[in-house]
Amino acid sequence: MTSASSLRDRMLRGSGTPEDSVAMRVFVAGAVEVAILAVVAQGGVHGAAAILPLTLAPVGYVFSYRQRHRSNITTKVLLSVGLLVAFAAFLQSVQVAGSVDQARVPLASLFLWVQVLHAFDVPRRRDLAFSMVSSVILMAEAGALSLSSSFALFVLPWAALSGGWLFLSSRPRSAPATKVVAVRRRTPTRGETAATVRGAAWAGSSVVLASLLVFMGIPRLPGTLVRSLPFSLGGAASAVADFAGGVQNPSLPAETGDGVVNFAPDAYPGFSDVVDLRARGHLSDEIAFRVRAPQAALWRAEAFDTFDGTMWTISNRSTEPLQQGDAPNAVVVPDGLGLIGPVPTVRVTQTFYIDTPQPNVLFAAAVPEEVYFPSGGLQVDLYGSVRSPILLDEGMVYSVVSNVPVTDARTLRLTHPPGPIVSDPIYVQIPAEMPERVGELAHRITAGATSEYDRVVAVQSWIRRNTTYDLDVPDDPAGVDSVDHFLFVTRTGFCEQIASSLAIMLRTLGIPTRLVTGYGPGERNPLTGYFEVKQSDAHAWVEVFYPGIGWVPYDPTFGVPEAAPHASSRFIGGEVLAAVGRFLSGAIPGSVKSLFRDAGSGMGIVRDGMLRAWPVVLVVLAILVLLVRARLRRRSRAPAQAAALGAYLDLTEVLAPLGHPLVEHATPREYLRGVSADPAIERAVAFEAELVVATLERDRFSGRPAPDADLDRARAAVTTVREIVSRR
Amino acid sequence: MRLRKRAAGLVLGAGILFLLGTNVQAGWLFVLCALMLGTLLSGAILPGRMLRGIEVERRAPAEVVQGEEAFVDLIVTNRARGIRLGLTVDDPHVAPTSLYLTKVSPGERVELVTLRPARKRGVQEATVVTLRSAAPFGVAERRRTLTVAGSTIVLPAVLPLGPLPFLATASDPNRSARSIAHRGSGPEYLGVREYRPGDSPRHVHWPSTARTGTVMVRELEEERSQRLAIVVDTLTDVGDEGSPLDACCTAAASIARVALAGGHTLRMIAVHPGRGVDVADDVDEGSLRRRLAAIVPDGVPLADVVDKGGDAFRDVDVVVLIFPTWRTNRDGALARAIESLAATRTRVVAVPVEVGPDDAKRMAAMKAEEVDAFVTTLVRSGADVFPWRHDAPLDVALAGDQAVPR
Repeated sequence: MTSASSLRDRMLRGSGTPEDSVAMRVFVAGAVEVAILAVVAQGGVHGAAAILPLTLAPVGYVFSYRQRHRSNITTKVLLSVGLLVAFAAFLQSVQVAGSVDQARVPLASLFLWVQVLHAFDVPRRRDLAFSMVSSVILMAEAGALSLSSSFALFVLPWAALSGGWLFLSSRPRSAPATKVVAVRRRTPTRGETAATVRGAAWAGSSVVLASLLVFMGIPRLPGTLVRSLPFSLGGAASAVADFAGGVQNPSLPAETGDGVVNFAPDAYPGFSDVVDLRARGHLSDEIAFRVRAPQAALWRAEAFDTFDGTMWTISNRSTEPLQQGDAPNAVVVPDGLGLIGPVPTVRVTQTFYIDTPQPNVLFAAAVPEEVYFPSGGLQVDLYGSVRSPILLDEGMVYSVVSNVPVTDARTLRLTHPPGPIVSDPIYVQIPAEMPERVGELAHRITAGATSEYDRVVAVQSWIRRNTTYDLDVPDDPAGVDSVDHFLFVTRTGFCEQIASSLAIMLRTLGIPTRLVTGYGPGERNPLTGYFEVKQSDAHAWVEVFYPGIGWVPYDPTFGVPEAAPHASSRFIGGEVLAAVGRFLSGAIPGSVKSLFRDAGSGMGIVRDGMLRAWPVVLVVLAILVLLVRARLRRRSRAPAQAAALGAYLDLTEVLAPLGHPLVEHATPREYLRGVSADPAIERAVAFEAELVVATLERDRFSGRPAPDADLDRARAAVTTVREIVSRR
Repeated sequence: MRLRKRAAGLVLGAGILFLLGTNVQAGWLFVLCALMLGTLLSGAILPGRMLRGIEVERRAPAEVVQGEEAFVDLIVTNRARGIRLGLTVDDPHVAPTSLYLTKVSPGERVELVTLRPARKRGVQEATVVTLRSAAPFGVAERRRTLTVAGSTIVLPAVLPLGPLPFLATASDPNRSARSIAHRGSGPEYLGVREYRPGDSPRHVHWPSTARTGTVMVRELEEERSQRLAIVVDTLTDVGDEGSPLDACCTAAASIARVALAGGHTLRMIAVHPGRGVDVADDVDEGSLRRRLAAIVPDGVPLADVVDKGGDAFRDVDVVVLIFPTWRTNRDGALARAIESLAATRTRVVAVPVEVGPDDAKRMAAMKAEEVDAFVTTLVRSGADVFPWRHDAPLDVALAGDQAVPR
């Protein structure tokens, strides 16, 4: 009967003993709650749908703790029914989902419910481990959705709770076979809490440090191991009035009296029909959008082909609609807008998450091939710029698959020499009134260059060497050619001026160019992995046409990110350190920083003085080394001090049954007097006790640790006392 | 360092997160992946720190009887400055023991009083205690061995026995014929003879006198103690607890107690590795049990000990040979040795201890039917055989009821 009932128990409850540790369950339940909260906070499930799981999960853990020793067959049946209901609800939800992405929320909800239902039946340690694994999955889902560093608010407590669970669950499962009759602890009265905190801090900091090192060493592969699915999520978008393929940028300020549209903090005037080199102003550091991409790129928006001395314009405003692609929800950009030759390319999938409203032009790495966008009706112009009938409002998500050309010097040098290389002469157009010295300068710079590529590089290098980037340059005088004024008067300016100088100088050499606007790559957030592109990253650069290849980007201001990054760039150690540096730089007040600067200059003076008085420095250093060494030696002797104290404590323990327990307020000498005065204590015992106390006093008060020989003698004395007492 | 299962779990989880992170280019997945691997790394290093500064002391009794429990104290002291977590202390002394301490604070001294069953006879001199820790994350386990002094002799158990037939003065004719009859005024009756001058009238045996017409007197054996030699077969052994050799030692100690209680003197003959045959005369019970506790397998067949014992068997009245039923004892050498010994008018008592079926599987031990044939052979060699079957109590085996008649 007994074996039958135990078999029944095993069948119902499975093998293994129930877990009785309340602390372990609290850690697991806490980790699961944090994970559910993280999913909710990242929009994995809708807020209202998450309230019930958040409430029920802790109830489930309490319930399963109370029921842990029972078979719970009724509960198991009910939970099975609950699982079926949750699965049915999931199937119903995904029926109306139009894409895999739209099934994400129902899937997360299903997983949450599985987690909650499982919480009602976790009797054993292994079941709790399953709960922890589930919490990892929830955290991973939330992490995949997270766009910001604030996700750390969930990761840190979850990691701490998981660490607690790891510690508690590493204890032996069953009681030892050996009978432990008694456990006597003699704990120092002070410092236990501090030691516990120190231990936890030590473990935590070692995990953080090791994780940081691993994090810096994890390669960021281009994501082609498993092809990622581009997706698009539509929000409430503003429609573009009378959309016919043109660019609309509602955030731009009104024109000034002389017809110039200046910069606004949240609107770059280059995203329009013109790029006016007379415009001035600053853009904000607010994040414009975040890009999930395997590598950095210039996020291209528009291209301009005509320059009149102050403004770039688009000569051909015609656009054509994008056609439906093979993949669902994908539209295809026509070929030939960027590359025309058989150039190696890297397929880069990018997903843009719009943070602040942008114009109706899609940003993408050159050359876009497929676009996944929440609205239809996309148009593309002859320069490869894609426009949408809706504005890119906050919260919009779209994806673009681009073929980024990989070119090198050898390939580009093999192209044809300059000449009538492109059918449209607009790309070599220069303003009629432009002074000839611009062309003369270009020819002088490229005097020794033998190929188009060498000429481009020579001019770009000259610009980089001889001009300075500055956003606060004064307005150009009226009537001057902006490029001429920049090259021969100021040589200081912003990216539009620098890029225009390159484009126009190359045109004077007969090399086709065009000015491109968009955003710089931004900075990759090491935690989220997203490139965070700020409004102030709005940028202008140049595209140069190479016969047989197509348009190749050049950025004389900051440089173009590599199309095929070197393997070392797959590790973000440098980016992590840079991010830490930026964080510290932002966190440290300016006054402190100036203090450090002053200290740095002061250190220079001190260093000079030390070099002059080097003998004194050597002596001081030697003294310091000796002091540190002595200190380290004293520290290394700490166990010896503990040994003297340990011998004394052992003595008091042995004599306690004889009426001489350890009295905290009595000094060792007073304790010894009490022992010696006791007529019931043998003289031999008193003699040995004297030895122990004397060793302790010498160890404590002589200023130097007791010698090892004395400590050994004290230990032997305790052993002798123990033997004498045991013979009584 | 020994990695635990959860280390594989962390690596697997980190790998999956890495693949997912690479697929969806989500940095937080790399953070979670790094956290797992960071936990793995620090979890592999920190246990080593948990073992530093820990001292272990052991207090154990000098002697304990096999089968009984012994108090063994382990005193664990943390001499380090930091807290020590998740310590497991493995102490093989007397009985393999694992004790777990959740934490030991700096300077703390934890005294663990354990009660350990002394299942294995012999001198327990475990000088090493193993400290283990997988704290704080249970990812990998580190070990450190500490030298801890301590010696405990596990004495063989003594089972209660009734009177032993081979210790009583034999009255049967065969026994009288073979042994030296020490005639005297003891309580044992040897026979009747004609009256001789000086015989006490109290000893006149009237029925015989009437039957023969000659005055006949009872002849009584002189009352004196016997010299008993105990030899234990130390050829080999098998098993950790209650092994065949342990059973032999228990039988020897039990027989010795009865013999000593009857006023007999004991000689212990044993083979010690490197020292040859060791003869100890007039041993008391404590000394004999300590000697039995020290016996270890030496590879010398019992037949060799009997054959080459020489002087060890001189002046001995009864030789008790106690041996497991190893198959090697069946090869005839032991029977011949017993025959030779019996020819010296020494009474030979053989106590074959049947090796249990579990042990028999591991060693070349006789099967039950082979034991029966073996016993018969021994009887023919001139020994009084008291086989101790593995499922029978010792007192029954030695009571004589089970003895095989010659």
